[in-house]
This record gives sequence, structure tokens and C-alpha cells, in this order.
Amino acid sequence: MSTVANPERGAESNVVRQARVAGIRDFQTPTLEAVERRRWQLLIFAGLVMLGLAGGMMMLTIDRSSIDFVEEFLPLPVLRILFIGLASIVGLYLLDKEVRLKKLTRNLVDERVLSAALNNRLKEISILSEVGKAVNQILELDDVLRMILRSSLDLLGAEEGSVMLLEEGTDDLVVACAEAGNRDIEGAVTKMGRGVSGWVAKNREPILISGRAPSEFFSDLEDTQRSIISAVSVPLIGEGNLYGVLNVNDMSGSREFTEYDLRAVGMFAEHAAIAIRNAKAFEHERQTILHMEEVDRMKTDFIATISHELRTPLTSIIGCAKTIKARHDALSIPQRNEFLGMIERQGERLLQMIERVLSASKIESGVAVFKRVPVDIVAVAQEVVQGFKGAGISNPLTVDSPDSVIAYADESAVAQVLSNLIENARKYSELEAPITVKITDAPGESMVEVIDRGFGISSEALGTIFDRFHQIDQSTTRKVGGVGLGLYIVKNLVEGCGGRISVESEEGKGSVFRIIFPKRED
Amino acid sequence: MARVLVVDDEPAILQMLKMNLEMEGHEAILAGDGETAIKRIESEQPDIVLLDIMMPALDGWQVLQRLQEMSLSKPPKVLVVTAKGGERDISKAFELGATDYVAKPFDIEDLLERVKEVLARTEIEMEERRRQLIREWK
Repeated sequence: MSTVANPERGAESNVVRQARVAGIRDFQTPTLEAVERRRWQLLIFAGLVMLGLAGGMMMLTIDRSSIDFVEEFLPLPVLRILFIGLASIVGLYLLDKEVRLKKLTRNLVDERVLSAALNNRLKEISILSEVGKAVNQILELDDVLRMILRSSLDLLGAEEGSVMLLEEGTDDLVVACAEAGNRDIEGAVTKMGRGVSGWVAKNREPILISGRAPSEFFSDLEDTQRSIISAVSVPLIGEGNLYGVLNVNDMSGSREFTEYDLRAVGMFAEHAAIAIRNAKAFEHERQTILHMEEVDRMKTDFIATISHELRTPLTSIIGCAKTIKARHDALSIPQRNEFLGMIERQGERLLQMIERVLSASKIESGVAVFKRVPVDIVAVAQEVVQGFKGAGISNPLTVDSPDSVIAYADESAVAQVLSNLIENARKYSELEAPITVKITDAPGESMVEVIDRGFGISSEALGTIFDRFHQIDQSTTRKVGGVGLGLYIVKNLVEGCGGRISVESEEGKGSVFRIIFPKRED
Repeated sequence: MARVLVVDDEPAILQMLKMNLEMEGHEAILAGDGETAIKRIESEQPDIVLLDIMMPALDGWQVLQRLQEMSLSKPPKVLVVTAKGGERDISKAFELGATDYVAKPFDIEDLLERVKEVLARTEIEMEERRRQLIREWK
């Protein structure tokens, strides 16, 4: 992969060394101009030496006496040899320098070519940096992916390509955006392991295809993919997760991709992976905020509801107390007892309501502890039903069960679940509509059903009725009363006992709440 | 004394009002929902109705509407009893023929006082009070 970058550095240091040897020292990077200057210097130097030698020779030729004078120290043949030797040394020196300078010139030209390539690379890096900025600025994942795809196509001079994303929890690769001429392939699905993209996704490895895709490698390639002349396909991986695949294809045969192209697309793929990760984090944040807003809204509703609900028993309590105080002497003993009894019952009702709110918060904070012991749920159900009958419930209430059914659960939790469910059935039914508690014994499990013929629950509401603070249809809230915690508590109590709860309902026909309790202690 | 129909879906409040009204010397008739209220108005012909607004099935508004449609020869005076905060559309109640209103949670003595006062009102006074209340709540 790094075969492109190295010769460049090598070339540079080579040039510098050559320049040093050639005597060009006072520079950082040698230029063609400096070489030319050096060549002129050498030429002038050679000229001067030649001129000196020629001058010496001339003097010796013109003036005989000077020859005699010189011959006193050096015989003429020796002098000749000296001249010829000197000329040859200078000549050789010049030749050597000229050869070196020629070589340097060639290298400098090479370097200019490389620097042009470097400029190209710089352009690529600036595209990448643009993409990098976009990744951080544009939060719409679709826009980022489209930009990354376009940039990769620009850079490689290709016309077709696509970004495929892995559907979470499946092995489907879906085309999120594509440039594919006239064909509309966005939304198309490929299985992991199928085709080039599938291979890349499965092996989490990039691939470079020059020429036709080898059929022994991709035995299941479709014809359109097989005809790809050149292709680059890179997996999108972030934090160890596979997000998808980035593909760049050339169908025209005008462009043969190289290792270098593969590396460039790899960099785009990294940015795409970051963008996807960011988008996922952003989406997650958004969902959290939406959820928090919803919880906040429910809390506000909850406070409005609960203050109404707490006020109702308080109206009776205060009214009774005031009556006793104001008419103390006028009241007969039975009348007074009736008022006192009402204060007691309404006080208990208030207490129960507060306990319900507390037990919801206990469940939430994880303080609630559930026993897992054998409980006869038939006996519990009968006791609860007796309690309702004693309180004068107008709906016919029956328990349909064998003599005894044992489940592993918390007895008080089971009782609370049943009484909440019966209370609910009563609230959402006409006064005379029957309510049945049906208990069935099955191997390994016990089933309790609370069946009413009440108003029923709409299919939209069914999904959220077990949520905290939730109450069906705000317009009925005031009519039926309650704080919107009943079913939330029921679900948590059932799950605390290791059981599960479900509901079936049809508007106008009634509802069935079905609870399964385990028969083992696990 | 007067014949009073109390309409409320809360049994405790019904009982408490009944005992208090009886001690005032009134005759108290009870209805736990709107449907029963309509039946009682027809059969018992009360002088005054204490009508709760928030009730399951047939609510206070619907009772008032039905009452208008019934066009009784001597319609009862209606004292609307509504939860605090639910007063927003109270003018609607007066347009539907209600005579006066009391906010919940009510003070029992105030309520009995108001019952006495409404019962004492003449036809003209009732009409005047109704107009005044509509202006106030609009």
C-alpha cells in the first residue's frame, strides 16, 4: 500500500545528496535554475583556466629568454607534461561535474513530476477534509452518505457507486444511496455473504477488482455485477461494528482502479463509518429526549389526576367531620357512627391511594422484595372477591376455578394484582356487567384471567396501558378516576413474582387480562 | 321543605350529602350516574338537583341537555357541583339551564347555604343570576 509514498522521499534525499556532491550547498531544495547557474560557473572557471594556460604558453612561445629562464629550473619536456596534465585534470574535473549536473537535472525533472502528483494528492486530502467537516456538520445521515459517495466517485473518476447499510439485527444489506446511471437501486437488499458487497461485509475486508470479477471467487454473482470491469468495495466499520459497505464501480472500462484508489476509498469509508456512528448517537439522543418529554408530560398529567383523586375522599372526610362538629348534639348515635364510619373508610381509601403511589415508587427504585413461595391462588382470589362483595360491588363477580391451584409467588402481590384488575374491570364496565376471575392449572404454569364485558380498550391504547402514569383516553380520566398507576403496578408485581401479563381486548366487547405464574421456584 | 336530588358517582359524597340534607329537613333522593338521575327527575320531580359534572357514561352536560329536551312543566333548579379547575366551560352549564354552581371540594355548610338560597330565589332572580354568571365566566 505504501509503495507510492516512499520513492518520493527517496528521490528528494537523493537529489539533495547529488546536489551537495555537485557543489550546490547554499540551498534547501536544489532547483533546475541553481543547476544551470552552477553549470555557467564551471564554464567560466574552465574558460579562465584555459585562458591562463594559453597565456602561459603564449609567453613561452613569444619570449625565448623566458624559456631559457624557465629551463634553468624545469626542462621543457617536463613543462609540457605539466601543462598537458593540468589541462587534463581540469578537463576531467569539468566532465565529472557535467555528468553529475546532467543526472541532477534529470532527477529534478522527475521531482517536478512527483510534486505535480503531490498536488493532486493534496486536492484529494482537501476533499477528504471537506468530507470530514461535513461528517461533523450535517447530521442528516442520508446527506452525509450521499456526499461521501459523490466525493469518492469524483476522486476516482468513476460514475457508479453505492453505500449499503446493514439493517440492525439482520443480515440484510440495504442500498441507502446510489449513483447508478438510470437504474434506481436505492432500497435494494442483498444478503450478507452474497455478491461482492456481501463478501466484503462478511469478511470485513476491502476488495479491489481490476478487470472482470473472478467467478471462482464470487460463485453467486449476478450477471450485472459480473460485468463490472473495475470495482472498489470497502466495509464501513466503526468501533468494531459493521455498518455497511461503500462500493465504487466502473462499468465502462475506461478506468482501472489501483491499490491507491482502494486506499483513498478506504479513507472515505472511515469517514462514512464515523458519520453513521454520529447519526446513530444523534438518533439515540433524540429518542431519549422525546421519551423524557413524554415522561414529563405524563408526570404533569399524573399530578393533575392525583390531586383530583386525593380531593374526592378528602371532600367526604372534611364534610363528615364538619357535620359532626356543627351538629354534634342534634345527631343520633347511629347517625354519628355513620359519619365516623365514612371518615374511616374514606381515610383508608386515601391511604390505599398513597400506598399505591408509594409502591410504584418502591418498585421503580428496586426496593420492593417479592417472596417466591407456594401460594394457593384460588384461595387468594376467593378472598379478594369476597372483599369486593362485602364492599357492595354492583357487578356480578364470580371465580371460575378448580378447588386449588398452586403457584410460586408472593401472596400479597397476587392479592394486590387481582384486586387492582377487578377494580379496573369494574371502573371500565357498566354497573351490571359481569366480571369473572378464571383460574386454570397447566403443567409448569398457572393461569389467572380477569374477564370483563366492559368498554374494552382500543388497539392503539393496548400498547401503552402498562406504562407508568398512563390512563386510557384523557377525556375519560375524570370519569373513571384513578391515578394511572394501577396497571403499571400490576405488571411490575407480576414480573416481580417471575410471572408475565398480557391483555386482549375489543372495544365495546370487554377485556381479558391474562397472568401466567410459574410453578417452580426459579 | 324541599325535595333534593343528589347526582354524584362517588357513593361517599352521596351519603354525606344525604345525611346533611335530611338533617336540614329536606327530602334527599340519590342517583349514582346520569341515567339514573334522568329517571329520578321524571319520577320524583325534585325541586333542586345537585349535579356532578364528571361522571362515567352520561355526564353532567348530557344530563342538562336531556333535561332541556324533556321540557318539563316545572323543571328543577340545577346546582352544578364541579371540581376546581373544571370551571373553564362552566358558562356552558348556565346556557344549558343550570341555576348556580359550587366548586369541589366544597364546604358542606356553604353548600347547604347555597341550596337554601337557590330554593328561595324567584324566577326573575334566577334569570338575573344566570345572566350574571354567564357574563362572569365568558
